[in-house]
Amino acid sequence: MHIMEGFLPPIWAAFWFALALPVVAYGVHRIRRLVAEDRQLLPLLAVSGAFIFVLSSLKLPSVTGSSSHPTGTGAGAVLFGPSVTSVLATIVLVYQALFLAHGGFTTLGANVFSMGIAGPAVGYGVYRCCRGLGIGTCPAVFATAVAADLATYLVTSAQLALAFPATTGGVLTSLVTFGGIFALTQVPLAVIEGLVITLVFRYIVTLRGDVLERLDGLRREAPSP
Amino acid sequence: MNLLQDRRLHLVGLVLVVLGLSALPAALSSLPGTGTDDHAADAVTGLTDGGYTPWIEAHGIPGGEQNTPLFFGLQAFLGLVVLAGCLWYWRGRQSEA
Repeated sequence: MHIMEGFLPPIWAAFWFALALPVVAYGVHRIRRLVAEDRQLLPLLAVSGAFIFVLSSLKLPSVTGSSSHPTGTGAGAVLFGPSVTSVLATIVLVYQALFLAHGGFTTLGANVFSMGIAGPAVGYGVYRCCRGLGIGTCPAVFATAVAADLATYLVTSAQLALAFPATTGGVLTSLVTFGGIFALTQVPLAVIEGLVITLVFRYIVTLRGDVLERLDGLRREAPSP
Repeated sequence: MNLLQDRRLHLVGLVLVVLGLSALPAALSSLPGTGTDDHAADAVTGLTDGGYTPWIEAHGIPGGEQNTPLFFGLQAFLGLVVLAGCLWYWRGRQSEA
């Protein structure tokens, strides 16, 4: 799931903090601006955060025999882009580090980078490509959620591989080892996550399509991320 | 009057759904089996020939391991309350319009 407390050497822990902090800070700035421009976006923001809270609480067994959880960041990536999603993911990761000893405070920067920034950034890219190619909203949201989930755990594998290169084969061998642990386990969970997010997203569009249109308008004025 | 009763019924249904779904992560976290993070810790030990030990200890779960389902359930509950609240608010706005 996440990189556990103390499982990154201090230099790598500091490196990932240095990369994650500016994005989270920018995300806070964007949230303030979006909410100031349109208060109706506040429930949409809350729903994006709620998705991460709910889906990342589901510790599901998978095909590899171990268990993992979905990330829930796909909705935030579609609606607000990676910087805003990084803030929402940080809240969840702090909760899990504090109450579940899941992840940790020394590895928070690395976990925010993988789950809050890299995953949603890949998801956002997939969403824009799908829309650019004329693919419908629901399939695009599904692809976004799956891509964001899988990218998160591929980046987690890469983070560990960089910190712990194998004696023989180096970083690549380690990447295969960690990828086998994290990414393979994640494939069926990513598909489940994609289906759940698509269904709820579709319901939200039915209820408040106007808010989504306003969000699109604001995005055109000041593009995400 | 019927509309009010319908709304109350829907609200009770929503509360029951939130409570029911909150129990799911709690139950799932009680299942036996190890997570990918445990496997990753083993892989780190294997790749470094046991040469790496975490430089800081995890603080553990408040109140002990037996509280894991409680905190997973609480996490889901918080998210579901927000999700249900927003959907309820939007449905109300839609029926007003």
